[in-house]
Amino acid sequence: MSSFPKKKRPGFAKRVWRSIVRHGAPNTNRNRSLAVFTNLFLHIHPVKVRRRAMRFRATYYLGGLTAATFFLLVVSGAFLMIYYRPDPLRAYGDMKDLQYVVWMGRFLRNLHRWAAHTMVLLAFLHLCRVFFAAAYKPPREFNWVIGVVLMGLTLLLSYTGYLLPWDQLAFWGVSVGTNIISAMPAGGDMVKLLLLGGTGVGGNALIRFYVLHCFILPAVLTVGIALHIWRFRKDGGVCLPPYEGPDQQATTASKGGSP
Amino acid sequence: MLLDDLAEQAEENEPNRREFLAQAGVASLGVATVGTGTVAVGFLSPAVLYEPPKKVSAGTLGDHPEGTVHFSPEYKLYVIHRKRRLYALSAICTHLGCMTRYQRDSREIHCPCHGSRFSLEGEVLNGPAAEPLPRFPIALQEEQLVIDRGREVGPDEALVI
Ligand code: HEM
Ligand code: FES
Repeated sequence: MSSFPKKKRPGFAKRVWRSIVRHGAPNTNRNRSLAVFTNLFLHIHPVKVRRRAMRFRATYYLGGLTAATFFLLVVSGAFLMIYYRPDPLRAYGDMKDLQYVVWMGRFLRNLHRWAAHTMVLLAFLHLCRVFFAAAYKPPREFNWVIGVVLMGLTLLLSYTGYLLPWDQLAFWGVSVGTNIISAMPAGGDMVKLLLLGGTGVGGNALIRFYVLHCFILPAVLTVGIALHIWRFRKDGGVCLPPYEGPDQQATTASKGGSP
Repeated sequence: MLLDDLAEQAEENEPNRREFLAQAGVASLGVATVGTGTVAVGFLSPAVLYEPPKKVSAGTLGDHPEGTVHFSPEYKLYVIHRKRRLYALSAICTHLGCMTRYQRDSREIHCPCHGSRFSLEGEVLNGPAAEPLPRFPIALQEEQLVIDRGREVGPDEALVI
């Protein structure tokens, strides 16, 4: 045995806490970086972030807001799934129940719908911002491609969700949309048949769109967003214009940049 | 000496085996991809369609007196008896597939989706539709009118009565 004085064993609560959080209080630089490195959610941040990149005007926080809206849609969508059944005989009635019978149902449905429109708008504005900042240029060109794919997936989610209320607008909207698909020169009719599970919009189409809307597309989008954010880090974070002021720290601080 | 021998041996044998294994890996990945694709497309193709048949019955001649336009939402067609001629028109708009409606007051067929208008003969009166409404052959079989939605006939064909 060693000759060191025996340390008192920490208490149970302390040991449980230590098993989850390995670093000490974030009051030293080392512990502060450990807090970021050892946390799955915080380690999204790059090792080093410039103050200029954190300013609202640098990004308008559009990408983060798009991701936050997606999270809102996942949560509200999961709630809607509790009452909504994708069956031609039930779907429309379930929507009506959500509106008039289920407590807070109308709130959740409206939340889902407004968030869907907002997500499309935010993703589009985010793309515009990236474009005007010329952030699609090397080394970020592939992340731009991922971003365009994510925009497409967002539109597909809106489109597949649109059929689910099973009202006149939904029915004819999807009839017209899938006829546009079938005008595709090669394999258009095939894609339409596989998408609808028939020659027209019916029960098969409803359940296919439901599976796409509630499982396949959100799963693909989640993986895509993870890839997008990971590459954003690896490509060096926010694309900033060359700095021209005398002293970055001083100027950004005086303009109220957040830490 | 011994180490050098081993290194030489490895250089001679390893790349071949590695190449083979890599190629086998890529090949099996290809087979798996093709297989998954085939299964996916096959699985998604509906084996049975619970949709109305192509050949449908439209009742007897007595059900369609002169001057009537009958609309069947199930079979998506009109049966029209006009000027002693009986014929069947598809009710699906040739623009992007919405269901059209017969307008009694103007004696025209209108599409609610983007405003196409058709005459009772199926001709386009107003776009965006570019093609006339398809006309289906109609035949008398043992007093029953039978319409074949799977075929199309020319714009003047009709049962003359
Ligand atoms: C995991 C994620 C999601 C789930 C589980 C989900 C689930 C649902 C369900 C069950 C419905 C039918 C109820 C209703 O129509 O109100 C629905 C509708 C809808 N969803 Fe989603 N959704 C998700 C994500 C999204 C996203 C990301 C968008 C668009 C960006 C979106 C857009 C829509 C739209 C436009 C409707 C029709 C809303 C309405 O008519 O009220 N959803 N969703
Ligand atoms: S579908 Fe009839 S006008 Fe467009």
